[in-house]
Amino acid sequence: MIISKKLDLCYRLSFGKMTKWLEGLMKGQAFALKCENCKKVSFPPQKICLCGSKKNNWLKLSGVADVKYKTKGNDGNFAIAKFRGASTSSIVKLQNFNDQETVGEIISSKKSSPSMILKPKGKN
Amino acid sequence: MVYVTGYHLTDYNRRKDSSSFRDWVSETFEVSLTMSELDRHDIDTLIISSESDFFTLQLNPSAVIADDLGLTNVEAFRVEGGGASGQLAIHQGVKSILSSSSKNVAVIGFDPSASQLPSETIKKLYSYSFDALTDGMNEVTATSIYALSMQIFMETTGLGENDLADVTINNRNNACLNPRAHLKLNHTRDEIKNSPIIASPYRRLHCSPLSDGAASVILSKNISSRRKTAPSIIGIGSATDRVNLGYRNELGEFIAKTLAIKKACKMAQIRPNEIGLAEVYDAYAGAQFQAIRALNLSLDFLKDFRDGVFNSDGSLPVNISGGLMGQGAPAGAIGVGQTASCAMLLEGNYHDKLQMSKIPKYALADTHGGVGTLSAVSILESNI
Repeated sequence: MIISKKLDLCYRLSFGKMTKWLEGLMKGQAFALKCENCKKVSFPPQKICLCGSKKNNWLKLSGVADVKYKTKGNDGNFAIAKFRGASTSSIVKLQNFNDQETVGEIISSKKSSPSMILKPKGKN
Repeated sequence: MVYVTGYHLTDYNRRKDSSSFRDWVSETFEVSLTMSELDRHDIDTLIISSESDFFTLQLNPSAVIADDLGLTNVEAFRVEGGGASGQLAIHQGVKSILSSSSKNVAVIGFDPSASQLPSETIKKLYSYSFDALTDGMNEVTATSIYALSMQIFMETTGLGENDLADVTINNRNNACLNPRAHLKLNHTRDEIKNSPIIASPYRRLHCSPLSDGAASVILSKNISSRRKTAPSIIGIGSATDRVNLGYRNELGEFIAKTLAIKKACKMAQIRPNEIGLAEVYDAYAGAQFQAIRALNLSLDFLKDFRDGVFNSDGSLPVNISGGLMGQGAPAGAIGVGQTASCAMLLEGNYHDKLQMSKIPKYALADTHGGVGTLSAVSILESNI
């Protein structure tokens, strides 16, 4: 015997310190954390820097990123990209990129799923 | 000393027989218990591993399983660490015995990863097994993250498309000789290269399947006279790497494995080059190479692979079982099943056509969660 059982889960998520970052993504803005100690800039933001410091400040980046590696296929288009001004890289979703394009800019994402999405720089 | 006095794996496949994961757990436990020459009342501790309540729809499963198995009043708990859950459960069992907290521990891994939820739902859930805030919200799939890591690995090591095809062929060929394996398939390079691209460079046939299944081991402080050839676990180690791939210094390398095997070898007082067979975590074709390199099993992994060193008849067989790609991947069972497979091979009890005639002294079971993020390894020693 097999029965179908459907669960309808609707989470109410809140994000604490990361709220500023996620609100930025919804607006197409890139907020990073800059370590007060070693000055490294993390994007996505790291609450504790690799140097061990917990002291950091929010920093708004330009939102322009250099795409280093791309993957595409049935699962979608994603890349490892480094936002200009950041010391770390990020995994981003690519929108309307062709194989040659390697520079992108962040665009706003839907409210239900704030995420790092890049479109080619200068393209609408 | 920690002896593996009992071990067993169920079939790994997609169940269509209306059986439940609780049936598979009972099946594997009873076989392991009988082999261990123990009575169920000899078991002090039950440790279970399953990756997600989403898969089983059973929260707080350890007490339920204890009841199912007739293990009344035992210590029981669940261990979870993504894909590494099973190996981490083994570690807790080893620690329980070494601390004299228990004499006999049953470790059982299971998951109905294939039959209870649609594969698209599982894929979405797995996005949340990386960093839910970043990767999860971005809906990036596990295959895409592994693919990005693999691109970098291929660029730095010279690994090519033919190598990805050949390791797939090897593992599935091994699976053809493993009666309990999920994907018993004989591929050609062309078939693999023409299968749909899921996330470049990974194609459908480079991916491990979602499987149902369970595996178990009985770990014991002492052995009876009839279990004198039971293998021992002599080293365990685990470590983490950064969850976000972009935070890592080496985006194509599985550094956590290097740290984990270093700890395990230190405990076992052996070196990685003394290991004579390995079951490694090949969630994708390329992950097998990333594992072999990170575990320091070879000075030149690519040359050794192309020379057949890691084949089932090579000097260091890797994934004789077929690995995740061939044998299958019921998430919570994987690490327990790898350890059980190593124990079988070290005691000469493996499937006829795959059992090594010359049994090595040491075997390695290597498991991870994330993209090589949470790594856990165990080293077993033969007592034949």
